[in-house]
Amino acid sequence: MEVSISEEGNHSIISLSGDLDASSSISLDNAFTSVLSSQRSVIFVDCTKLDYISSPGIGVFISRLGDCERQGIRLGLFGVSDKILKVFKILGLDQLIIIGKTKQEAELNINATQPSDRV
Amino acid sequence: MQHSLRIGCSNVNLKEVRTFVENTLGAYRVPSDETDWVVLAIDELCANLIAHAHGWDPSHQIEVCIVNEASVISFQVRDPAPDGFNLLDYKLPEVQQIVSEKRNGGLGLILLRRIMDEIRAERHNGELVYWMRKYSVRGSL
Repeated sequence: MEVSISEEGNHSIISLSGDLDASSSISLDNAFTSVLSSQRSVIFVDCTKLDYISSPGIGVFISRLGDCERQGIRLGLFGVSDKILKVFKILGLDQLIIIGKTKQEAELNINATQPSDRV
Repeated sequence: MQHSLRIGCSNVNLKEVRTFVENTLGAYRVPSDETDWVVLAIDELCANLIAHAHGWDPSHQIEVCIVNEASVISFQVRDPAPDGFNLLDYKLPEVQQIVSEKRNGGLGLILLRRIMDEIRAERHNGELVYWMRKYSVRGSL
């Protein structure tokens, strides 16, 4: 899996490409460590080129959501394929993590949701 | 017909497992959405065995088998460790508990249980064999 980080205004974007599994989830975790230290108010994860996800990858999102909440940072995913969305849904996690088809939709969902709504 | 793949217990080999399952079910014309679920379930089981039964030791091996008998497809993951830890003995946490504790772990076996319709572990000749079925997955060759 390839991971890249970019900064735009008040938000950071982590872009993922390839398979997010037990062998690559550490790369996502490291990316979160980096963007959390940049103190921007929103973190987006661009999943447009993400082909696969398994539980270690989902576990990173869950654990890092806690870090985001503690720091008052909002987290949103976008570009999530139906295949990957199904995995979040079977665990009921689509109700926990903000997911949008596009970055704009994820941003709208973030703005429409109070932080406490998702805790 | 049985198809099998033996891998060393390292996470870098999980991609090979996924490709093996995907290609084998593709050859039996299993719909891709059904294949996706099985790929994930087998990946989760193998990842748990690699970590918790073998401590990521690549010199240890496990074997993934796909068996097609009269279009009924079943799946096996064979762990030759004589005292292998049985993952099915593990008491599953609730998803909500994992979420509330913001834990990074515990979801894999929950996924496995939710995806597969049948799963059991049996010891045969010193091996621990995980046997699984998902009823909607049938071969058409």
